[in-house]
Formats: sequence, structure tokens, C-alpha cells
Amino acid sequence: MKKVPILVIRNTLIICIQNDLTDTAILELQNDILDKTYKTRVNGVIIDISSLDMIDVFLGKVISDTTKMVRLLGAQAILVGMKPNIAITLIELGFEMPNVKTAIDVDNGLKILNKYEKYNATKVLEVTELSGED
Amino acid sequence: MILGVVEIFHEKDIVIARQTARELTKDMGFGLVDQTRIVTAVSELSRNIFKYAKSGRVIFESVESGKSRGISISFIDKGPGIESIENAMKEGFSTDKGMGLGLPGVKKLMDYFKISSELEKGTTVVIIKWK
Repeated sequence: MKKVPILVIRNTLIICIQNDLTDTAILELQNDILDKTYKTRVNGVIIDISSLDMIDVFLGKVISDTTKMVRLLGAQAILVGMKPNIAITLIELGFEMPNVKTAIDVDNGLKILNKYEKYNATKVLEVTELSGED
Repeated sequence: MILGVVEIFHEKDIVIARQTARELTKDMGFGLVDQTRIVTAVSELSRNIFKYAKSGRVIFESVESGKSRGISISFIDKGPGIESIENAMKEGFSTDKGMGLGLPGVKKLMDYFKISSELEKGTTVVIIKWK
């Protein structure tokens, strides 16, 4: 079964959900995200759906639940990269995900997280570059 | 004309039904939003087969009416059937932990939606989207 990679970058998890995951794989991914959020003690989780060409009610509900669960753990989750065709279809289906934070892409998602956490990624970037960790 | 048939037995077959819908609607020249509507509807209805009837069949057909062309997709199972279609078509109604958006939601995405069901005999859903 396909395994979705979860990247940990500067206090943030980044997950890029792919097409064609089975329902079981999607639930496993939810579990992995929560596990990794807890273990790595990140501040933010970015769920990138820009490569998806469909969200049905099941996937939409898992994504929306995951962002709520992440919040309960003490981090912020942002859904990024939804395509217009998916937004149209979801609203027509009656599935609006009102409590899910969204951003246009990963970059904007990071900006929102930074504002939220009063945490400046560029400064961390400079520091790590100076210390030669990159 | 039959364009494709997907047998639903395993969870993975829901994904195959989606892929088939994606390829066929693309080939037929549906716009991106319509492709998404159709793939989403196929995903919902295929999952219903897997969840409630365990197995069934999805048949993709091209249909014509006058000058318009479209795709008709039938979801046929020999599962337990639906006790009350009226309830199943109500938004917010769900027999399990679902959100009850499935059937009424699919209907909104399609141009034609017909469901027939008989207890202990099975359920058939037919949807059509015109180009």
C-alpha cells in the first residue's frame, strides 16, 4: 500500500496527500500525522492537497477531523492548495469544512503558521544557515 | 455503448472505479469541473456498494439524446437494499456514522439520478451527466 511521506521542516509537518489512496490508507495517514505531531512536538501541520483531483465526503471528513485533532494536540493545522474544481464540487455536495483553516499554497500556509506562533521562519533560516546546519 | 465495467469486491476497487471515471470523462471531453463532479459521485456510490452490499458492479456507458452526449453510470448490487429511499435521500440522514451527505449530495452533482431498491434484493443507482 502507498505510504504518504510526512516531512518535518522547521517546526512544521508537511504532508502532501496523493490521489488514489484507499480509505484504509487515508485513515492510516491520519494516525501517522497525529503520531508525528505528538512525537516531534511541532507547532504546525500543513496538509497539501494540490495534487488531489477529487475530495469525496469520506476524505473531506477525515481531513477536517484531522485538523481538529491536531488542534487538540496543541498544534495548528492548515489545509493548502485546494483546486477550484474541488472547491466547487465540495460546496455543491454540501460539504463546507467551515472550521478548517486554509491557505492558497504551502508558502502561504507557512506564513499563516508563523503569524500564529509569532515564530519567524526566516530568522530561524538565517541562524541555521550561519551555523552551517543546512 | 458500454465503455467500461468495474467490479467492486475490495476497498481498492473504489479507487479503480474513480480512476476509470477519470479516464473515461477525460476521453469524452468533459470539462475539469464536470470530471471532478463525476469522479466524486462515482467514489461516493462505489463506496456505498462496498460498505453496505460488500460487492457489486459499476457500469459506465455513453448515452445520446438528440445532439447531446453524456455518460451514464449504473451502480448495481445485490446487497440488503435500502429500507427507506425517502430517508436515504434526506440531507443529514445516515444509518451509520456518515454525514448523510452521500446520496443527496451525489444527486446535486448530476443531471439525472435514479435509485431503486428492494429489501434483501439489492440496490441500483443510475446517474447521468450530459456534456
